[in-house]
Amino acid sequence: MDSSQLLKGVLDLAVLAVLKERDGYGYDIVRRLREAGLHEVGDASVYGTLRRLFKAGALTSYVMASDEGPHRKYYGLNEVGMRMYAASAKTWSSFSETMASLLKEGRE
Amino acid sequence: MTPEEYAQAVRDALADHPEREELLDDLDDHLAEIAAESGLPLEERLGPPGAYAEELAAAYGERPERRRRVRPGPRERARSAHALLMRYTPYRGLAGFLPELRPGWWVLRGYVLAMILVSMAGDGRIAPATAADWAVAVARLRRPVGRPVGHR
Repeated sequence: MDSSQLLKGVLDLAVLAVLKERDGYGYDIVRRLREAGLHEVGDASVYGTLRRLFKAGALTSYVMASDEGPHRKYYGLNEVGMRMYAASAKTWSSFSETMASLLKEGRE
Repeated sequence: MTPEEYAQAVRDALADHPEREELLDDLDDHLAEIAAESGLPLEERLGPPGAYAEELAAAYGERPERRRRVRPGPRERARSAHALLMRYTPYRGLAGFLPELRPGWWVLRGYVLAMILVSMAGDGRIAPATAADWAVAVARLRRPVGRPVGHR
């Protein structure tokens, strides 16, 4: 199975998890996701997801000037985003446990 | 392609997106950041702008105007009007009664058809008038036209 297909369903949660750690701007978030092991994550997918989460009211944003380049729009979790993260994380944990035990049964 | 050109191409590709401004809010800065970091041309780094725009719109959510709005046809509209009217007792009574009128409808239809044929014939003769005519009519019915008598 192509892992980019799997990623589609959990990209929201991945982005929320990265932002829970600390605020970040678009490209910084892409980079941190890749560093965490999601190498196939598409820049446009992350950027579109950020804009959607922002529209949904889960993120705050503020602009900071950077020394070496353009202004950076930082995103961070607000109350709504925190709740969204907690709920999605719970769903994902129980889902991945189920899958793990299914796969274990398959091996035996 | 400079970051500005790339951003413009993405903007153009999403020209019909109803929330384009919200979606592409800080795209220029974002692309400038990527360009500054990698040094590679953006097309190489991100692929063609059209594909980038597609991926962006897909991640953001479905384009509302792409959802095909099907205009209901007359049949569909009649059906929904019927469903609406069925809430009212008098209409329900009428609708329940209509099937019982069906034989009457058949008779009426047959009558109207006959009247049309009569008016087309124009000579007022709608049934065989003489005994000879009757014989011909009956023979025609029993032996279809085109099959000669005595041959198989």
